[in-house]
Amino acid sequence: MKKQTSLVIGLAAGIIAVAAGLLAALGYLPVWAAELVAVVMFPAFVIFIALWWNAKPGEEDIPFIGY
Amino acid sequence: MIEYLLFATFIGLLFHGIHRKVIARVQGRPGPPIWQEILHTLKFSFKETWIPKTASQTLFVGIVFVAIAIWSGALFILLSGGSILLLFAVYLLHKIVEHGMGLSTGSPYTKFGAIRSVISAASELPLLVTVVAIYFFTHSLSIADIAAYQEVHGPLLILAFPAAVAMYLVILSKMHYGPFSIIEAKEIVSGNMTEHFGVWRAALEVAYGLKTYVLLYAFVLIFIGSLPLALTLLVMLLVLVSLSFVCAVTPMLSPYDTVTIQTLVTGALVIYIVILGVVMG
Repeated sequence: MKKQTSLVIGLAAGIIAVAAGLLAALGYLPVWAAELVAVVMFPAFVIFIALWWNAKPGEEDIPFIGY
Repeated sequence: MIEYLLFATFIGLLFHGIHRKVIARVQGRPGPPIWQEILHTLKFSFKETWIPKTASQTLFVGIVFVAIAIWSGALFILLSGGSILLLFAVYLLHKIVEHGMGLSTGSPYTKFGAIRSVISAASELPLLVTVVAIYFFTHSLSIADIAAYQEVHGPLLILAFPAAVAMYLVILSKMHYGPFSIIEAKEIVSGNMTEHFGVWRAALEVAYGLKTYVLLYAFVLIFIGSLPLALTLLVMLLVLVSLSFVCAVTPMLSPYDTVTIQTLVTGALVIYIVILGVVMG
């Protein structure tokens, strides 16, 4: 996976979770559905954003598999 | 919704820092600053991250996602006043996370941690008995109903004190540096977490921060009732400090002793429930 891909996935997960919360607050989405979206998206947000800022600038794949 | 999770993670990690500070002070050491665990999490997220060659890649990475997801779900169960049985289910899933994490790497140290996690399954028994004891009083397993019951009859901490002690023991068994923390004992390096480093460890710290927040919050909701947020946090802090004192003055038990103590507590609770059944019909 490339550094840019991590950022895109992490941001997408965060935006989807925030959007679901807003939709639930406005009454367009049941609260339980927004909670379910947050439960699924929050781990992706945390891990992919961390992988993005952890990765060195370059073309190598992250995370490295080996050793 | 995500703001609740970020808040709970922040407070949970801050509680971990306070936990370390209190333990250090009780033991006559200065200890780290209370925000140390937040810095720790950030530090891990910048460390080199890889997947060991011997690991099952899917399980090694997937288990970290699951760890965060289950405690996120548990927080929403509490906030929505859901069933205490669902909370119990999350606790059991966490056990699967613990030994899944250990078995995923191929390292002997993590496998020892995973095996110890299975051994310490006895820590679930007091929780199960707590659920039964609470049902005797409230006739409901909904957290919202339990909170409503306490508004009328007073805190279950007083009415069902032995059940509160059992739940306290359950939380104690999940605290870092505690007498029951056999899965991450130093003689097996960091136990089941040994090979999860870098981003994986940072994400696990997030999951464990959420876990600590959820368990303390659950204790307050179930045994004291629904309180304003500031008061809830204060009571959670008091419970945490008491747990830290226990951790500071108690050496880590051997795996067999942890099972013995947890089983004895469960036995005592079963007797309590039988007495409750006779007295309350």
